[in-house]
Amino acid sequence: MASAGSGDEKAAAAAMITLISSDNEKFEVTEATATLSQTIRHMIEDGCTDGGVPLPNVTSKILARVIEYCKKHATAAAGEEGSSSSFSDAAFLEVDRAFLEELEEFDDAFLEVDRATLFDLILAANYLDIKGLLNLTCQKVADSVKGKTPEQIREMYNIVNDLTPEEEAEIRRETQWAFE
Amino acid sequence: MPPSSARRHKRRRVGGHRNPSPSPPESRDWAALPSDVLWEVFRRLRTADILCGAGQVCAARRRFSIDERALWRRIDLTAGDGDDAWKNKRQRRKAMARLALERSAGQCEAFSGHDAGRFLRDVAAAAPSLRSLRVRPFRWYRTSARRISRVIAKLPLLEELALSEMVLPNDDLMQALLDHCPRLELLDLGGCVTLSAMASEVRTRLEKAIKHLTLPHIYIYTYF
Repeated sequence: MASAGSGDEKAAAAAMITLISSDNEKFEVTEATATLSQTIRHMIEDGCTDGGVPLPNVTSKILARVIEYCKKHATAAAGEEGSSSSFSDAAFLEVDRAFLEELEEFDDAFLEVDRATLFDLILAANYLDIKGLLNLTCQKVADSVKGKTPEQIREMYNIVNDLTPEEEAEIRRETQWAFE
Repeated sequence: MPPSSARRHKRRRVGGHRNPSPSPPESRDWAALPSDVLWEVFRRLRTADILCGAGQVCAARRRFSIDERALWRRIDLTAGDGDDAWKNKRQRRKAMARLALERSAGQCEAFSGHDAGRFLRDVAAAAPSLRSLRVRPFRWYRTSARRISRVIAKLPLLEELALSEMVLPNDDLMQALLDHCPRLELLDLGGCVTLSAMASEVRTRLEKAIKHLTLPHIYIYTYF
């Protein structure tokens, strides 16, 4: 059973999908990589990927990064499946842990981008519905605003304070305690 | 504890509401993040950060933090490590808890905080769907049987109760839990003390009913 499963996997991995960025650049990726995106997975299931998948919301610069992420994590997913099916001894767990650590390091390095790129990655992850990437990038934003005042956050992310005087008054009323 | 099943209206907008490609570098409209994404960010924030920071940045964030009831299903007002500056601001914490409970509109399912005493009754009244309650007062607190029983009686859905640094009335509390909280699976009172041993009959019933049980220490006192 296990060998039949991995045979199917290999067949699936061999199938290639073409992704087309908003600036018309083409990227060839394996189906295993592409299907980390639920959006693309559904397109494949519906059989509408012939001639490539146009992604009008994603630039080539961002798509290249997204694919880099998906490639790494698709390998990780395949590795996990392989390990659970046959081995469970300590040596194998050791390999697994090393791999997870490597993946974590990859994620950390992947997140070392400027704010504009982070923003584009978030929108791309949301549009393509790549859960892991959305979690990763949103966690980065969440961590960056922890313990910060509204003014600090506005400055950091270039957000204009458009609260109406009424809303400001309401906030003051709600948070009097903060100034007591 | 994850927020209960009512998953979000999460569906991507195909075609997107904006196209990032033509923007000049370094200028992105963070205020215009779609609500799916805002949810992903806000659900990772602590209650205090939503109330005092991210939720006040602009009109859209404020509205999101108020309208998104699911954000208030889990209220965590415990001071984090290195959060000592807040430790003595009890009024501030209490006010934040009130505001958070108000926003939860009765849907809060998990509450962690530092206020014991009368305030717990308000928590119970404002959160009838509470499944998890974790309280560690800022300083040791001795609660009366009547007070704690009243709180427990209002929480029929409780699955987790963890109290610490409290002096508890043993038999009355346990009796209230057995009577009112049929779903209780975790009872952690390991950080509390009690002044009397529990009746063995109550203890047997507790051990039978509750999967993860840590009982308070018995404090033997000679003068008090």
